[in-house]
Amino acid sequence: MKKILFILVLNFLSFNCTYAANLNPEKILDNVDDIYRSNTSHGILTLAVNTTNWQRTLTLEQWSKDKNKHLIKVLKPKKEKNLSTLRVDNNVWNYMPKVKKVVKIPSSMMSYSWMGSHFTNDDLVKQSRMAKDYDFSISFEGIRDEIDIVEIICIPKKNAAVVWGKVEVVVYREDFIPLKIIYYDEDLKVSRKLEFSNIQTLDNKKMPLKMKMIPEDEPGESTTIQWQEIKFDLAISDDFFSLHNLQR
Amino acid sequence: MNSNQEIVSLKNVVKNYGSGQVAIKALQDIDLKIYKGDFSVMMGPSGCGKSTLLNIIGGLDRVTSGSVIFNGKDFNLLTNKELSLIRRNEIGFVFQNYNLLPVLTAYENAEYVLMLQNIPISQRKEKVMNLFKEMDLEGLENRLPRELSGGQQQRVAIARAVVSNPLLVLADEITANVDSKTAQSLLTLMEKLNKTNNTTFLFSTHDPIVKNFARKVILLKDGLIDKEEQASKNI
Amino acid sequence: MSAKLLLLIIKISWLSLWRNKRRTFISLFSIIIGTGIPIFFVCIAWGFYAGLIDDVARLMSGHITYEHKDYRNSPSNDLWVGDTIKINNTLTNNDNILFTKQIVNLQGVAHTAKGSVGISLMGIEPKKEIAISFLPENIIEGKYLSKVDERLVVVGEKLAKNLNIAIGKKFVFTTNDIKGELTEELFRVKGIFKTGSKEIDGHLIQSNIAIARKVAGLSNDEISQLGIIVKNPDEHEVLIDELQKSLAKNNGIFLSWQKIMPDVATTIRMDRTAITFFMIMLVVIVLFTMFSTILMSTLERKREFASLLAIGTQQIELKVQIFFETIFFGLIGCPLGALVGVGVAKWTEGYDMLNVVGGKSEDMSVGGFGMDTVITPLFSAPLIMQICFFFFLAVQLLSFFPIHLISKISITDELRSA
Repeated sequence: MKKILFILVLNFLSFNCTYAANLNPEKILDNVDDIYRSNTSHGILTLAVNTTNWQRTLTLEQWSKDKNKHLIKVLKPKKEKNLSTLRVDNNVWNYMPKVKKVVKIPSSMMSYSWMGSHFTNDDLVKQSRMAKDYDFSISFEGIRDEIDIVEIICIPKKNAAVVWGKVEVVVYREDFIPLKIIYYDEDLKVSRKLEFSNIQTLDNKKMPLKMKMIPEDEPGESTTIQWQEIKFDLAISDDFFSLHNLQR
Repeated sequence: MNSNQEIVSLKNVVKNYGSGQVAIKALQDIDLKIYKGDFSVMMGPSGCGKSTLLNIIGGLDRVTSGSVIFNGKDFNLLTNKELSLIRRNEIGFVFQNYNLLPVLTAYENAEYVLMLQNIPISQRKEKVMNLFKEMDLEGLENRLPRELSGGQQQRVAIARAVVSNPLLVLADEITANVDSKTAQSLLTLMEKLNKTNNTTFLFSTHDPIVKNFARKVILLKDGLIDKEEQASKNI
Repeated sequence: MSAKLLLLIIKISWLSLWRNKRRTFISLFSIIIGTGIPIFFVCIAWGFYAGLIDDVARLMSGHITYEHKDYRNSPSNDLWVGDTIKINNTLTNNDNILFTKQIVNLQGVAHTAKGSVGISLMGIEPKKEIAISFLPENIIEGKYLSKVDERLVVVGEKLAKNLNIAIGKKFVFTTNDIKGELTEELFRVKGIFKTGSKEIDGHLIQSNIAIARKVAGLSNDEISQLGIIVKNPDEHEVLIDELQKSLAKNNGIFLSWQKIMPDVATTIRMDRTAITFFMIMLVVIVLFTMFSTILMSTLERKREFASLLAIGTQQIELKVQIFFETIFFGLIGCPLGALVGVGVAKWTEGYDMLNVVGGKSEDMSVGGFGMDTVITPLFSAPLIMQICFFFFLAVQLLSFFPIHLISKISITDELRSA
C-alpha cells in the first residue's frame, strides 16, 4: 500500500468522476491509484515531520513525469536548501549540497526514513498498482460518521511482496476521493494510518491537499504533507530527470 | 718395615691464610719426609696446623711457599686436575666423619675408587672381597652406611682408602667419632694393613690411642714441627 | 670416563634422588604441575579452537571457500562465480574433501509492518546443510528447511524478535539482483534458530538455494560461494594451492577460512598467544620452585661432594651426576605431568564450561561467532610432546647453576667444617 502513497505524493492528476450505479472495487482502486497521475506535474508542498524528539517543516518543490520519474528539491529551510532526491524507475539518488555529493540509495537503505519523515525511501519507489498485489472487495457502502463512503478491503495476494496483512481504503462515494487508508499488520492490528483532508480544486482538479501519516506504534508522531500549489501537463522533457539536474 | 723410599718430601713449606696484616700463619717453614711403609702420627693442639699439613700433603691445598714433592712430582707444578688424579690413584683418604656415599652399599663404596681408576670388574670384586675378608667386613657388603655402626662405617672408609693400594693413606682424626675400643680395633686393623701390605699411613690426631700405635710421632706447635720422634712401640 | 663408571654415576644419581623423598616428591610435583597444567589448558583450548573453526567452517563457507576474487573486499550480490557444477563434481571426487556446499548470499533488508532490519540471506541446499552444519540442530521453534520449501526460510531468534515475526509469518526481502535492479520477494518463517552468536542470530536467514538464485537472477551453474569442508583442517592450505591451480576460473579464487573470517582467525591467534604467555609465566614460577629444590639438594651435599673430590673424583663426574639427577626428574615428571594433563582434560570432556564460569552462552563468542561451551579437548601428540620436551629442557637448564657450583667447592673448607 506504500505504492499508493507514492502516487499520492507525487502523481497528481485530473480525476474523472465516474459515477457508477454498480460499484466496481477494482475501478475505484484504479482511480485512487490514478488520482494523482498525469503526464507531468510541477508543484510546491510542505512536509511537516513531528516526532517525540523533534519537529521540522520542509518546503519542497517537485516535478514528475509518467509513473517513473520524479525530482524533489528542498526550498526551505535554508540550511537544507537544494537537498534533492531523484527517482528514475527503481533507482533513487540523493544529492547533498553541503558535501556536493550524489549518493545512490542502496537496496539496504530503501526501507529507511526519507528525509527523517515517516515515509521511507521505498515509499517513493513503489509503482505497482493495488489491483496487482491484492484481492479486494467492498466491505461497506453507505453513511458512516455522516459521510457517504465506500470501504474496500484489500487482502495481499499469497506471494505478493507486501508486508501488510490487510489494507482498508475508504473513499467518498460521490467522487472516489480518498478519505483514509488504514494499514494492518499480519495479525490484523493497525500499523499506520494515512488520512486525507482539505479537499480543494487546483488547476481544475479536485483533490485532498493535505495528507497525514500516523504510525500506530509511535504515539504522538506523524508526518503531514500539504500541497501549496500544483500544475499539470506541463512540457517537461525526459532529460530533466537527470543526475545533472539533481545537482543544480 | 721402614724402607728408604721417600714418598713425600716437604721443604720450607709455608701456608698463610688471608694476606697482609691479617694473614694467619698456619704453617711456618716445615721440612718433613715420609717414607714408604711409615706409620706416622701428627699431633698437637687444635689450630697447630696438623690438618693444614695433612691437606697439603694430600694435594687438597696448596702451599704459600716452599715445595711439596710427592713420589717425585712437584705439586707446585701440577694443575688441579693432575692433583685430583694423584689423589685418585696414589693417595687414600680416611675422614673423621667417614664420608661414605650414603646411597651406595658398603661394597659399592669400596668399589667406587676402583671404578674411578677404571679397574676391570673381576679384579674389583676380588680386591674388595679379599679386603673385606681381611677387615672383618664379610656379610656387610650389601648394607648401606646408615645400617652400619660408626666403627663399621669407618672400617668401610678405611677399606675404600686402601683398596687400590695407594702409596699413602691419610687419616684425619679417624677415631674422633668412635669409642676407644673401636678406635683400638681400627688402629689394629690399619697396623695390620701396614705390616702385610706395606701401606704407608699418616695420621693426624690428638687421640693418645693413635700415638700408641705410631712408629713416628710428629709434634706440631704453632705451625712449626716442634719435635719428631721415633715412637717407643716397635715391630 | 668409562661406560662402567658412567653407569655407576647414573646409579648414584638415581639413588641420590631418593635420599630426601619429601623433597624429591615436591620437585616431581612441581614438574608434574608445570607440564600438566599447560598440557591441560592447551588440550582444552586447542580443542575448543579446532571445534570452533570446524563449526564456523561448516556453518559458513567451509575451511576453503571458492568465490569471486573481489567478493572479500565488498560482498556484493553481483560478484558471483560460474561453472560451479563442474567444479563441484571434481571436488566431490577429491579424497581430501568431506563435503562441499553451494551458497548464494544476498545482502538486503527484511521488512515487516513493524520495521526493517538489514540481513544476510543465505541460500543453501537443505539436505547438505543438515549433513554439514550445526544450524539445523539449533532450531528452537518450527522446523528446518527441506528441498520442497520455496518461500520458507529459517531466521535467527534475535532477528525474529526485531522483526516481530513468528512461525508462519511473512516478511518482504528487498535486495539488488546481479544486474543491480531492486528486487523484492515475500518469505515466510518456517523455523527459528539460536546459535548463541549475536551476529548470526540477529542477521542471518537461510532459504533454499533455488529461490535465492531466482531473487538474485543467477542460473543453476552460478553461486556466491562454494564452501569446502576438508578432512584435515590442519592441511587445508596445501589443498588451496592445488585447487587454485587446477580448478579456479578467471574471476574465482580459493581462500582459507582465515581470510574469509579474519576476525575469528585473529581472535584465535591472540587467544593462543595469551594462553602461551600465561603458560610460560606459570612454567617460570614452577621452575623457580624446581630451581630452589635442586639448588638446595646440591648445597646440602657440599661436604659429601668435597669428600668425593678429595678421594679423586673428577669435577666432571660430579657434574654429570647432578645433571643426571635433573634428567631423572624430567624423565619421571614430564611424562607423568603429560599424563595428568591429558587425564584431567579427558575427565572434563563433555562438561559444559558455563556450569563453571557462569554467564550466558550468548556472551561467549569469538569473532562474532558463538562458541560451543562444552569441553571437547584436542589431544595432539606432537603438541603434547613439544610441551613435555620444552619443560624437560627448561628443567635441565636449571641444573646448570648447581653444576656450576661444583667448580666452586673448596674441599678443605668443606672438610674442615665437618
